[in-house]
Amino acid sequence: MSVGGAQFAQQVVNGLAVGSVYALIALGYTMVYGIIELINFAHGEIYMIGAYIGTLAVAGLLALGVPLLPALGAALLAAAALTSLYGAATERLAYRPLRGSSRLAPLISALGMSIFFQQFVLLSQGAKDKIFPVEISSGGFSAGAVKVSYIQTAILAVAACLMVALDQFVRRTRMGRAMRCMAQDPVMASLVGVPVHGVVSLTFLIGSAMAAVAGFLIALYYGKVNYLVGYIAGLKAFVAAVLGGIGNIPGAMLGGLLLGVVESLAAGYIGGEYKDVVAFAILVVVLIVRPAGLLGARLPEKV
Amino acid sequence: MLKVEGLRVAYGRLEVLQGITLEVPEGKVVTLVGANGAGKSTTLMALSGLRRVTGGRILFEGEDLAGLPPHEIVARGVVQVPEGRRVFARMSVHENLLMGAFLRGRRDAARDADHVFSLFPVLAERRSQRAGTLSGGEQQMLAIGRALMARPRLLLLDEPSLGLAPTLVAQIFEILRAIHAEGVTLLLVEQNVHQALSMADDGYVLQAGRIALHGAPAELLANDEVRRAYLGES
Ligand SMILES: Nc1ncnc2c1ncn2[C@@H]1O[C@H](COP(=O)(O)OP(=O)(O)O)[C@@H](O)[C@H]1O
Ligand SMILES: [Mg+2]
Repeated sequence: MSVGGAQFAQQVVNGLAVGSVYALIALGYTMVYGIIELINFAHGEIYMIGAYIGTLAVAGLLALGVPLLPALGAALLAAAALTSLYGAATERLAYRPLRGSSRLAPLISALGMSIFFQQFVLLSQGAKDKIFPVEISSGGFSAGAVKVSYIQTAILAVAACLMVALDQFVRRTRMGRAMRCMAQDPVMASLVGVPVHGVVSLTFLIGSAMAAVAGFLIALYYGKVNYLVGYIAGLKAFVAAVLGGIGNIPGAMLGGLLLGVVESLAAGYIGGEYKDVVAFAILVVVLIVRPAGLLGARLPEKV
Repeated sequence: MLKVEGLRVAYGRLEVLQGITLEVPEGKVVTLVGANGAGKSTTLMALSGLRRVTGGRILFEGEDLAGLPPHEIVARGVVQVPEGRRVFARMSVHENLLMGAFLRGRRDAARDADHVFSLFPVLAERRSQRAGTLSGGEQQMLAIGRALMARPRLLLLDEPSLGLAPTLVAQIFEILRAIHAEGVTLLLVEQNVHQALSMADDGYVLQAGRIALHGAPAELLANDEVRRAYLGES
């Protein structure tokens, strides 16, 4: 491979790794939007909380003498489980009581929850970066001049598994089908007996668990977290969801990966400080050409 | 089976149902007719738990359904085919039927789907097709089939013949007779007053949120007011 080709391939690999994290977060935005038409502004903070819980859990488990790999695995599961409760509780306490009121009210409530979670973590964990307690080897696999680190491999593998699992869940299971019905026609969903509140809670549980996994992976990747990481990551993931077509699950996956790759290429070829400019410019262009996003429905399909 | 007593529903400050009383005895067909905007759909939505009831009671076999969430009402066997069919357009015909059986076991669902396909052979031909691509008549059949998948004891139908060509209307009423013959009790809301009254045991006329008339179909058909208002006679 030429030097230019190798650099390009390397940026794509880096972009896919970061992009699959965006995709995991974006899925939470898009599923919630698909079902209750709410932009859950607190979702980035849910991701941040997942990163903290994971980091704290790894430190705790290592202190107890648990070997590294089991500690990482258990911390990942703990982060997903506990964070999903945060997400579902947010819906129950801050959004559900406002359902049926104006469309603006839950949006404001979501902003409030976002600030609440930031301050909560700031006050309980401090403003300083929390350092991920293990230094993961910088080694990896290489193919010619292109290198894929172990962490990137783990991120890609975990994200791919989760996305395949989610896709199968939504397509093939009874509750997955119920989610799709709610997204299409919530009134009709209740008329066939779908427990609407239960499905909404389940959606928040799943979306938050995936955000927590994303947070854990990123904490591992960058080696630290702080109480503000949810803001940028949340924004990026939201962009990814809109890019793919908000409410559309494959769209969120595509949008996340695309955003990651574009950012990485921009950083590699133009300069790191331009990557956000390029990412948002692409969003604007896509939305001008396709207002509903890449995979969004062209026309409302409701009858 | 169903006794509605003084049912009141309001949209904001506008009281759309001003104390409705009606009864649907087990095994019968009762029809509720009335002009556009009279409150027929609101009545059915209230029965299904989708409108907040501000007064009165909805007694189904003695139990008050008012305040129950919709899925608990479905679980008791009160199932609605809403106005406008509302099939899940992006799902296949088969998936729509499975959704109808959401509260029931997988094996029962498979058996009932076969039954629905025998009632509506055209749906069997289109089982993997997206529901959104069906014709209006086929969508109405799917909507009815989906409701049957819930094993209704009382089926609420909101204008099932709306917007269909005359031959299809006749076909839908044929199907309703067959469903009734299988032991399902029907509460039928219709604008197609003649057809509805011709298959009903009892009829109610709703006018601006109140029951204006109640009687046997023959009586209502003979009533001058009904003839003028709903049967297009002068
Ligand atoms: N969601 C709603 N919000 C406010 N008013 C409504 C709503 N749905 C129906 N209405 C009003 O309630 C009245 C009864 O409507 P509806 O029950 O749909 O009548 P019908 O089914 O007999 O045509 C109408 O005046 C209608 O405008
Ligand atoms: Mg109506």
